[in-house]
Amino acid sequence: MRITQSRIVSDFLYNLNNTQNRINTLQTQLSSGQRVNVPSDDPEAADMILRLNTSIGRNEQFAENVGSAQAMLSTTTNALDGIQQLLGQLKTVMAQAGDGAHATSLGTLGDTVDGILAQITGLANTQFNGKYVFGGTQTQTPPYVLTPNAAPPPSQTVTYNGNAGAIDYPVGEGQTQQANVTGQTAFGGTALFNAIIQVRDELKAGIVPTAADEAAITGSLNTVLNASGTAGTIQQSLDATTAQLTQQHTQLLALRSAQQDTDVAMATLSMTQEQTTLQAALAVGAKILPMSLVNFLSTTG
Amino acid sequence: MSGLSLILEIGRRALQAQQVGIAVTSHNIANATTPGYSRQGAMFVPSNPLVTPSGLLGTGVDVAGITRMRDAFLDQQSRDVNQSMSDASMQNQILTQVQATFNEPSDTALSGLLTKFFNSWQSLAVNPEDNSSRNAVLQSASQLAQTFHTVDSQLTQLRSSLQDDVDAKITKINTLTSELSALDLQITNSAALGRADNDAMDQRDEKLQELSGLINIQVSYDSRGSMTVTSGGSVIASGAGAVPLQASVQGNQIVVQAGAGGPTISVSGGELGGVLTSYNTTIPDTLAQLDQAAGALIARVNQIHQAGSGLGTPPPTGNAFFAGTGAADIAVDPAILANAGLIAASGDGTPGDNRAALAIAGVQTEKLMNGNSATIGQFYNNLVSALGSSVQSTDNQAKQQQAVLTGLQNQQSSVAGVSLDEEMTNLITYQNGYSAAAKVISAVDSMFQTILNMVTP
Repeated sequence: MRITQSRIVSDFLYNLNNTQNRINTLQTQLSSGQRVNVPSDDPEAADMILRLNTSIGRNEQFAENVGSAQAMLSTTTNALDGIQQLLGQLKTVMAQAGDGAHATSLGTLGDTVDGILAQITGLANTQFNGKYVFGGTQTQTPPYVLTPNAAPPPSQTVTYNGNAGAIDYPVGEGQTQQANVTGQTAFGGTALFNAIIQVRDELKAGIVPTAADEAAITGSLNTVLNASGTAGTIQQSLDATTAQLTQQHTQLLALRSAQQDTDVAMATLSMTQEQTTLQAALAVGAKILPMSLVNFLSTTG
Repeated sequence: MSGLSLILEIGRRALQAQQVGIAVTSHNIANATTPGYSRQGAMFVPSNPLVTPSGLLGTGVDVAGITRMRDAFLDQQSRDVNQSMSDASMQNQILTQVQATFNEPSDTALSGLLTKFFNSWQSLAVNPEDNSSRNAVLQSASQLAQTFHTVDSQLTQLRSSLQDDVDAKITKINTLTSELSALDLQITNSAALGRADNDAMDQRDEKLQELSGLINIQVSYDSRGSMTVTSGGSVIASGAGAVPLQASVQGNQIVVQAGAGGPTISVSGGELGGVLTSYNTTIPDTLAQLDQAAGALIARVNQIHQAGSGLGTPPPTGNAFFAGTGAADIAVDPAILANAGLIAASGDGTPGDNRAALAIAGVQTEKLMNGNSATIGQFYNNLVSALGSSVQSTDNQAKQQQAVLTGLQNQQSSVAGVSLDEEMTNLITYQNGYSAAAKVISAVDSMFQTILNMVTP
């Protein structure tokens, strides 16, 4: 085959250009730290990266939702614990009233019960982040309102302004978790309040509470305990969910990194190889390109 | 006497022939770096012999002509490869711009904003009565809508800028075809006088190669060596003249015609082919898919939103969340932008209910696209990765064809290229030939002297 000068030059440039292109690609990968900077760098990986980004975004949102659910539930259990203690006090008061030794001060005990009722009502109207936690989905109105009764007994009537609506939080792919305890679940609607009002009214009227009153209060306490237990169980399962979400998050980040990030060791090694090639090409080019027979012919010949 | 004259004549012819050889060699050397130049060679043939009693006696050398060394078959192949290479590389350039418009993978591009949008609905589901959650929904939705607009308008702009590109390429093609016609005429006129116009033929080949980079062409030659260039079935240039191409927008598509009102040319190669494919097919397809994604999002979100209720007494219901129908006009409904309380998070009208917000957040995983087989996000991801594949495959194609073209050019260069080594060798040969012929003439001269001296005392 005839080899001409122009061919040597064009071959040299073509190969040099290819080497420099590869160096440029490696340089972009190394300086950006990313193997896939645009989808065309690796379309399959780009598709995977986009999907992983969505999963990571959702995972982070779920973790945030779980956090909110836990905060809401811990407010709820704190309130329920408080009510539970107050009911304990109430039972002590009732035992004192039945003791006989305190017969004269039944009215005073009635005042104590009044205080307990006020505190329990306050706790039942607990707010978290601007919403009443025991009102079902009626979160903007205080669920429990006590109003004086025009025609006693009882001296006060109780209204439950809430409903039985569940508030579900998204906590995972296709998973929701109810994050509220309604007044109906925790206090049997108005049953707890009616029972306390009955006891108070009786004490104030100088009557010792009956065994039926005692049973009503115990029943209400059990309802509160059950609700508190349920909330505690949900909190525990949310803890497990958090652990799971964190683990998933780590895995997703690792998967994305495998698709997107530059393998620095490999890229550096390839870069060194390409640089050697480039230097060799330039050195050879500088030696070969200027040569032809012209260099060896004497001009006077 | 006639014998000596004959030898003198042979010497003269030889001197002339070597001179022609040296002239051709120096022409080659001078044009060693001229693009498209084919080396030329002087064709030496022995001149007609004389019949003498001692047999046929040679009468020296004739220069039969100056020929061009070039492989026409390689030229044809080069043109074919050049067409598909230019087409692929032009498409690659445009697709790279389309890909850049989407700016993926990135948090601030559509895929990231879609996730943010749906996440903001989840946050709203967690705090449906909270105003800051409502504002976060408005913000993420506005950002999403804005980005849909940006991508849409950038693609539309890119597409309309291609019209100028088409016009520029058509002008270039028309200039080339008229130059080709003129050159062809010059070549056939020379040929009619028995002369090969080698340099004009080189120029014609070079311009044909250039033309093949712009549009798909077929070249044929008749017995006189006159070319006919056709493209997509229509003649666009020949010795008889060039047919100027015209491009016009007809029904959202650019159509190329040979001459005003002439036949439509199906442009399938060259840079013009690449631009037309992008303008007529690739970009409209991408825009349509973007529209589909935006349209599905608007329809489904509105459907759920209208059934839900916002905050207020009585709870407002039946409002659309998005206005618009596609990527170009998607926007958060102005009424909702003015009053975040209208955002319907509640399913039953109570302020703490979050069924509507949950349902809208759930649209992210609903398979609404491609006959209920893909979510909006998946559909969009496919669009982006398909775009990436197209960029990659056109780039590979262009590189492959470039390698083939380089191979063909190297082959042509080994036939037609000037080798300085070879030219220098030829120069020495011709120079020696010239000296030798001069020696013959001086020998004949001294023989004449001898005879003349015999006659004159």
